[in-house]
Amino acid sequence: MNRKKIYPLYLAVIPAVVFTIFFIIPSTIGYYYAFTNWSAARTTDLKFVGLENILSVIQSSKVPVAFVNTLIYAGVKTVMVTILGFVFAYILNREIRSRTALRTVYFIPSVFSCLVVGLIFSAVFQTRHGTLNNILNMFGIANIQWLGSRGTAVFAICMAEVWRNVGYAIIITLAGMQSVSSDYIEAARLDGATEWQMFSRITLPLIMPTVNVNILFSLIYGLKMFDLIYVMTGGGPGNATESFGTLMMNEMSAGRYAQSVAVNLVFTVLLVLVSMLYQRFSSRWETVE
Amino acid sequence: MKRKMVLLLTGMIVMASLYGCGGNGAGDSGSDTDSAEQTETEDDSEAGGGVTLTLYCNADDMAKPYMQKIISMWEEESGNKIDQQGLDTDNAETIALTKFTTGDIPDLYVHFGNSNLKNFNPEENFVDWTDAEWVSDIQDSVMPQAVYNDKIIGLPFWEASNSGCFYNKKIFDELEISQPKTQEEFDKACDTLLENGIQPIYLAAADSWPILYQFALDPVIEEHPEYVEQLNAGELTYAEIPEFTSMCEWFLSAAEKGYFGKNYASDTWDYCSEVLGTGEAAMMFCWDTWFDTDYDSESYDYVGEDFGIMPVFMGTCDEGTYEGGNVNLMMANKNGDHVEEAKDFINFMSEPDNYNEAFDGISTAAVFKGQTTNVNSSQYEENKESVDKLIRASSAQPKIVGYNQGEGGKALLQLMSGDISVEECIKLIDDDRIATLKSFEQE
Repeated sequence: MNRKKIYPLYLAVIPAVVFTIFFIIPSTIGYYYAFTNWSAARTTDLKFVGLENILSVIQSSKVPVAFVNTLIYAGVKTVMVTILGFVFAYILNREIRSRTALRTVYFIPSVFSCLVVGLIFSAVFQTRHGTLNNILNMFGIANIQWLGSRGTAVFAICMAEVWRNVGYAIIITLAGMQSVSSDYIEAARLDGATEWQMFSRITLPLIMPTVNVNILFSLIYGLKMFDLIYVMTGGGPGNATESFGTLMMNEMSAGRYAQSVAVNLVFTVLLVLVSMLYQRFSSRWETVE
Repeated sequence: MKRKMVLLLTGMIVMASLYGCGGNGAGDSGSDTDSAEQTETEDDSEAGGGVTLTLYCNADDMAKPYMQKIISMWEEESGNKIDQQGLDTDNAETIALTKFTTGDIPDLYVHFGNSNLKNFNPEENFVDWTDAEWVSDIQDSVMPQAVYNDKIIGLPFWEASNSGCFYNKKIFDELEISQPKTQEEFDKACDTLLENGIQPIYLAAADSWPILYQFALDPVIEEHPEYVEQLNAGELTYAEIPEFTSMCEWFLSAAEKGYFGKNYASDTWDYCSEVLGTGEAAMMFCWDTWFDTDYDSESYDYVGEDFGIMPVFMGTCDEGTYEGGNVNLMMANKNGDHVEEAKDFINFMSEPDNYNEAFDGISTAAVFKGQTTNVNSSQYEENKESVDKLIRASSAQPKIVGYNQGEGGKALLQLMSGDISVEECIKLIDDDRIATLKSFEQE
């Protein structure tokens, strides 16, 4: 890398203008509506109402539930997807006969749309005639309302999301593992390192940047979860599985557009905070020599 | 040479993409005259000289036989076509609202004329039919539902069903349970069913809307019509209406006693036929025409005629209540490309010969004064006296601004599941109503 090559500052103007036109301005205009009286019944002559909508969102009893659920979805997804992605990638990186076929099989769920995955898992977790309950019935276990109570419904949604996303994590982690030079491993082996030592001292540190990408993507997409919840439970039973995404949808469908944007604004602040915090901590884990 | 070829191909792809992205919807009509004309030409060629109208409607509602009949009759006579776009039943209103907000307004739209219609800006979007000839042919009991701000904004064209509590007559006879006449008798009937291992009521609470708590509010509003005005003016809350608390308490107590079975939180509307048909549950809150149009009489032990109608008891009215018909309105987009054709279709629907042919043999009360070919449901005929005595017009849903059947159902489900108290449940339902009310009033 030529460290002396420093580009002139004016070259940053073009990307800055593009970023401003296509991101900053539309977002700002969009969020402006959170401070107006925009509703289905009032789409013109909008008036500024200050923080009224933001305050009503913060004071809503549904927001704490949605906030906690959103963190659960993001947390469970991130941990499970990262760990499973790592484990499967480690296995698929070894000399196995069916390696290529297995890589394809594990990636297939990632190709399915959320709607399809939601419908499949709804059929699996349904109380009446659900696949899981049919299996339990064979062992004399009574039907369980998987989607009928908060704990099990959140669990079912998380399982569906993990199933759908683990393929991506495998592929990304696998790419990271394959970029680790075999010279390091061979040298370590000659020095008498154990499998665990080779993994923990060589492979893991070298692929940490890749794992971090996985974690960040899982975290952000986990926080933004909407479609699976909407298809599987609609935020129910009651409001038990609501996320910020479904809250926005509810406000929008009730014709309360400004409140919907206000929920979005609060959610965006949360998303940015979490991403910044993660970026700050994750940089310490990366070891790039 | 190779570079030129790459540039040429790239240019062609960009042109094709831009062309493909070009809109030709109603909202773009001002600037897209050419594409609009092209669309019309395509429509014309497809329809053999006529035009194609777009129709948005709840998919289940669209599939009703009389809807299909009247559409095919008009298509045959006019040479025009109707592109029927069925919207997902559970989210129909949300999807339609999103489309309207983004300027995607169809030529024809079907909606229950409740307070939510306000979201669709009827005065700006729909044809005013106040002076139409067919207005005088609409039944007086139905007319209020077609009115928005003193204007007739659509043609009521639907089943005028009688809603109530439907019960399995054979099971009641076997257990020697007589038809309840009071709330106390109803609760006793539920206890007897439970003692005999039968789930008293099938409540598809997972879908939230089938909790149908408006049935409990109709008699309250009939007795206190001032409540509607006070609620809509922000001068009254649900917590200040004692009957609202009684209703919540009844739902809680019924769930705790097991009246709705063990799985009500995950029970969905899809299983109504199965649960009633196998005799797993003996009752359900519903409407009479459902047994003719949706109930699967062929697959289960009990057929539609095995069910009778009785009043709904939900803790607010001791003698119980029935709810009168909620009718769908067919409305025409007054700013669309095919306003005249859309109006022609609605006028066609309003012709006595045509609606009588469409509703021939259909189980419904008459919506039009000249309607003669419909048949009343067997449930209604068997219990006509009780229905006629206790039936009340649907009032909570169409009149209370911000009334939300789905969100209210969700709160009641949380209450029944023990997640929240009665007070919290009322607050949750009221907060949602007030939020909508405020969003309409914000200045």
